[in-house]
Amino acid sequence: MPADNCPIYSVRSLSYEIGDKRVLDSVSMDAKPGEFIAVVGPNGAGKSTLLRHLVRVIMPPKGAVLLYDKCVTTLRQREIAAGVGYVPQSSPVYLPFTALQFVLMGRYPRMNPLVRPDDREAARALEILNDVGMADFADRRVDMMSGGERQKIFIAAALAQEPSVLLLDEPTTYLDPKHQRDIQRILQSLHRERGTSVVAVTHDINFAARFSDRIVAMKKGAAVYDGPPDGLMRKPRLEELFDTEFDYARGDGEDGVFAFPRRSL
Amino acid sequence: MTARTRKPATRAFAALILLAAVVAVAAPLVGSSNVSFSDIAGIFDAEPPTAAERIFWQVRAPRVILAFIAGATLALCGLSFQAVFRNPLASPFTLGVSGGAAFGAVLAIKLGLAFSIPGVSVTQIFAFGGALASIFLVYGIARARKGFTMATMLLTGVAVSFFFSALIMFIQFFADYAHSFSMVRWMMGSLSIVGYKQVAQAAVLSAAGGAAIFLRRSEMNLLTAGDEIARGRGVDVDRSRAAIFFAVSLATGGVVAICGPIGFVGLMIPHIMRLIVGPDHFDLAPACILGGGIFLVLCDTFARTAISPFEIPIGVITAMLGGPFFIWLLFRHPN
Repeated sequence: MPADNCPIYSVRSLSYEIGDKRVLDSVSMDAKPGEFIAVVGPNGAGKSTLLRHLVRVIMPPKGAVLLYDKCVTTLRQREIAAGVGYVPQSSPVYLPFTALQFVLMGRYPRMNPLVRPDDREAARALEILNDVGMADFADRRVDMMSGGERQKIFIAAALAQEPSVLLLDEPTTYLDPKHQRDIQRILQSLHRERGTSVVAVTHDINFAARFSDRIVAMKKGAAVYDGPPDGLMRKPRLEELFDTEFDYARGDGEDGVFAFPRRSL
Repeated sequence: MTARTRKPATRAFAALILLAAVVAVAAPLVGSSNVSFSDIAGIFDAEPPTAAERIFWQVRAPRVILAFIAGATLALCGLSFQAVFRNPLASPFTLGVSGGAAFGAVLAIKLGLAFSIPGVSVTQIFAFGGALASIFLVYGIARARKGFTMATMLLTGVAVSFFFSALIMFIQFFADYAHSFSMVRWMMGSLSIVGYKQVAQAAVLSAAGGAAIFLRRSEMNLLTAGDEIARGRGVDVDRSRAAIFFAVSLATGGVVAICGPIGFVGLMIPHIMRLIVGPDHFDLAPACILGGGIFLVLCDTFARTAISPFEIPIGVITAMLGGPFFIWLLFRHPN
């Protein structure tokens, strides 16, 4: 973990409304270098909206999002992308590029956009594909891949930006257990071995509890919990957050507590 | 994109460049009276030019150059729109930009305005203004509506296109018979009355707009993947989109003012080139310039020779040749 403990991100009293609906309600949070933060909460809690503000896909109308102490509204989009990799929740149906081409497109904030990526850039992109276990898919079209394969390619493309923080919106949703495990392993490796900060929005509370250093829980647009996983994975906090009952089980070793929605009778 | 993926594109480019060279040299030789190389070789003599030399150098050569410029420009504009709107049906023609440009040009002709900027005619300036107005009208209306989608945008484009067509008909209604006929003929697309002056005028705006599009090949790649991904990779989407709108308006206005609103090239050529060189805009942009240019020169050659000495309007040819070819390609390459 880097010695510098100044926050990469500081979110200050961020609010956002769509029509009459308040999607974010005065949210404040920090992300420090090397941290793995999971953002959890029920559907419609504002998790994805928060993430999209961090990468300035949405501009903050109220409050502030600071990236390395600079307000994101004052930064160029390229400057944000040079430090922040973003993996959105859904990928377009039509994406005609090969995996290699798509990962190379991730180099945009790091190279002259007027120039075609050269062979050195291609070699770097292949390395990244290899890191996520997708080197054999380099010449395959992205929109012809399965959801799990595609998700790895999207992570690889975000990594091509050489980000110091990776933002992921539901990275394991809709994936089979093998691909879920693959993605978890990739993120864990990035976080532990390279010190990359990770902010992952997820519905998988067990994934959040198992891998994150800190959980931010959101409900109705507000951050209702910000602390270590253990503090959330217990009665009655989890029940209050999701408005449902859970059964709990203790895992082996460092795995801590797992929670499962209680079976309805 | 790199040596690893560029090999098929290299072969395709070699074929396109060879074809462009053959077409550029052969097209001016063909016409109602054919001309041979020996007929035109004497142009560099001190002797006054012969009829064959005049036909080749003063009538057909500028026409072929203009056809190439117009085809290349419309194809490049169509490519950029398909990337920006992520829609295979987007083109200057379908989104009303050609219609706006045509309205601007017709208005300038009707008003009989005579001022000009060096290298650019007043008709072109009005066509550029009409093109720019139409695209910002389309974009503005589509954005103002809640739940903006690209489908909304295309439907708005169709509506704006009809609106400009109505305005053009309104102007035609008040024009005298001869003037109205020439407007209708021009609306079908025409390369018939052309000299080097018009070629230069078309080239100035096409080069300016085309260069601005050409420089945004990285952005067009990312915009194809969607706004959210493009922003995440560092593209200032709004600025890129505005710059492409401006460039397309400039280039389309420059061409439409002289050749009329020639349809189908901007829609079809990018798709054909995508099948040949792949989806990477670093390959697609130059391929569209070559492919669009070749296609329109061939169409124009056919237009002026098929029922010689009469000429078929070029817009009729582009649609009649292009439509079936496009459908054939769709069946041949279902992906």
